[in-house]
Amino acid sequence: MSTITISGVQKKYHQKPVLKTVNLTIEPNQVYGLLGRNGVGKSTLMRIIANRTRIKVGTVTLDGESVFENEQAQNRIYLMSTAKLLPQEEKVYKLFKLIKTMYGDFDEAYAKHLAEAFELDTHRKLRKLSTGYQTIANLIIALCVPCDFIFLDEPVLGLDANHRELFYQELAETFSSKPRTFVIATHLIEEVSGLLNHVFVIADGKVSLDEDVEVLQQRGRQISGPAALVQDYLQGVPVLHTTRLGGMMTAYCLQTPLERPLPAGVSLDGMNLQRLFIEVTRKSGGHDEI
Amino acid sequence: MHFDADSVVPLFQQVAEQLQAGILSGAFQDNEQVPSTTAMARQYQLNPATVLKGMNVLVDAGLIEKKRGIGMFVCDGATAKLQQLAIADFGDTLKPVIQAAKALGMDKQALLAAIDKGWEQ
Amino acid sequence: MKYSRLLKVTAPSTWLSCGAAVIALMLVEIALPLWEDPTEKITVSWVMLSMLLGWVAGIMMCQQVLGIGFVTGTSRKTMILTQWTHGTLIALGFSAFALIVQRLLVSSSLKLSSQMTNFPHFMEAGGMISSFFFLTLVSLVCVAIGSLAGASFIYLPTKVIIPVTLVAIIMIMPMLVVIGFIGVFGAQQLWPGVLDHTWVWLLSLTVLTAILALADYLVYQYLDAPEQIRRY
Repeated sequence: MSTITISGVQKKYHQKPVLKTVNLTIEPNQVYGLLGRNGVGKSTLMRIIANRTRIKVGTVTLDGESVFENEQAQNRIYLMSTAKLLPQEEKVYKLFKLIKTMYGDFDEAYAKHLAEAFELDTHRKLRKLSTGYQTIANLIIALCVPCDFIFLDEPVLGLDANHRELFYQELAETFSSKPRTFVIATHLIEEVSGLLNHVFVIADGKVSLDEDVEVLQQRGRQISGPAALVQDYLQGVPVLHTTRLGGMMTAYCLQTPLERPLPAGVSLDGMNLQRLFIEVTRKSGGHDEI
Repeated sequence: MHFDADSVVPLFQQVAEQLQAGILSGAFQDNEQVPSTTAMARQYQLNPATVLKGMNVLVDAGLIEKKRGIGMFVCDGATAKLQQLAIADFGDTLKPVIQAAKALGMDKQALLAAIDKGWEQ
Repeated sequence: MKYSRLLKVTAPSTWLSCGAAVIALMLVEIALPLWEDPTEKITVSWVMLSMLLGWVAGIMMCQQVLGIGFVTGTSRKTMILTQWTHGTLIALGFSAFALIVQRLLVSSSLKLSSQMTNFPHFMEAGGMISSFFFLTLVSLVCVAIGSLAGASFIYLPTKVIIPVTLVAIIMIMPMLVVIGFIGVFGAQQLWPGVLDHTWVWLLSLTVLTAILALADYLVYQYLDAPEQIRRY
C-alpha cells in the first residue's frame, strides 16, 4: 500500500535554516501526531508535502514518485491549514461543490451530517462566518475529501471545548468507518493523545522522536523519590530531565529500567504524552533546582 | 468508563479492564452485544485500533466472541466466570484492609468483629 | 489532471467579472457619449478597451486560480495554463465582439468613423482578420502583465504595494511609452515604411506576447502558497 517517504528535506527562510534534515515515513491508515514547539517547522513540513512550499534539497515521494508538481499524487493528499486561500465570497455549500470538482469526489452526505452536528449554516458566505466557524467549515472539507493522507495543521484553533470534543469524536468515527491516514499538528496534545497511533516530534530542524504511542507509554515513566534513591535506581539510564523539590527528585525517563527492583519510597508514575513532549523538547535539557 | 492517560496501564489494557468491569457489573449481559469499536472509539476519543486490541484481550480470555457480520457479543457464562475469578482474587482486595488493621494495632478478633458489624449494615 | 477541473471551477467568476467590465466599458464608450450628444460622432477606442479588459482579467483571475489551485494540490504549471486559457478565450471573444459591434455602429444610423480608431492607419475596419488578431494580441499582452500585477498584489507586503504601484505608474509607464516611441521612430528611420506592413505589427506583438507568457510561467514556478489571498 502507499506510503509517503520524506527524505533529507531541508528548508531555509531568509538564509535561516528551519528544517535541517527531515526523514520520516507516513504509512497508510494511521493517526499521527506531528508535535513540536512553536516555529519549529511543522507547518512548513506539511506545506512541503502538499506542494505549497518548494524545496531545493530533499525528496518527498508517494509510491516512489515525487509529490512535487505531481497532480496524481496531490489528489490523494489534502492539507487543512489556517491559510485563507479559498474564495471568501462563496457560500460554504458552494465551496463543498468546488472541492468536489477539484478532487473528483466528496462525501456530501457526511458533510451534511457534520454541518448539522456543528450547527454550521452552509448557506452563509465563508467570510461572514466567525473565525471558529470558518475553521469548522475547513474541517468539514478535510474530513470529506476522498484523500488517503489528510494533514491537519492546528485543526481546533479557535474552537470551543464542545466543538473540539465533537471534532475528536467525529475523527474517531470517520477513521474507523473509512480508514485513511491523518497527520495532526496540534499544541493541544492531551486532548488528542487517545486518538494517536504514532508520534513525530520535530525539534532543531530534525525528527527527534519517531515512535508508536503504545511503546512510549510502556517505558515512559516519572520516577519520584529521595534524590539518592532515584539516582541509584536510574544508574546508567539516559534521562530526559530531572527536577528537585528540596530532597525529592523527579526524573522523566523514556527507557525506564522496569526490570530493576524498585526501592521503597520511590514511586513510578505514568508519563502522559503532553508531559513526555514537554520533557523531550525542553531546551535546557538538564537539571532544575527549586 | 474512564481512561487515564497518566496511568502506567496501557490504554488497550484499560479498555479490556473497563469492559470486564462492565460485564461483571451487569451493564453488558451474557449473550448481549458489546458496544462496537467505532462507538467506543467515538465516545472516549480513542483510536479504534486501541479499542480493538483491548477487545481482543477479552476474546482471547473467552469472555467475548466475534459473531461474523454482526459484532462482538458477551460469551455465555462470561459473567459467572468473571465473578468466580473476582472471588478467587478477593485476597488481593483484602490485603490493604488487613495491613491497615495491623498498622492500627488490631488483632484478628477485632477485625472479624468489625466485619460482623459492617455486614449487618 | 486538474487542468480541466480548475478551468471549470474558475470560469464563472472570471467570465462574470469580465462581462461586467465589458458592460461598464461599453456604457462609458458608447452609451454615455450618445446620451450626452446624440448627433456627435462616436469613436470607440477598441485598442484601449482590449488592453483594459486584458488587464482586469489578468488581475482578477490570479486570486481565484492561485487560491483554489494551492488548496487543491494543483501544479503551478496547470495554474498558469488555466489563466492563459481563460485569458486567450476572453481576448478572442472580445475581439470578435469588438469587430461585430464596430460593424453594427458603422452600418447603423449612428455616424461613426469607418475606421477602427487608434489602429495603425492601414488597419481599417475592412481588414477583419488582421484587426481581429491585433486586438487579441494586445489584450493578451495585458492579460500577461495583469497576471504579474495580480501576483504582486498578493505577494508583496502591504506597505510595499503603494510605493511600488506609484513607482510603476509615475516612472515606469512613461518610460515604456518613451521607449515605444523611440522604437517606432527609430524603426521608421532605419527601415522606412516598415510600419506600414501589417505583418510587422502582428509579428512584434506575437513575440511580445510569447515573452510575457514565458515570464508569467517562470514567475509562477517560483511561487509558494501565500497565507491569504485577500488582504482584508
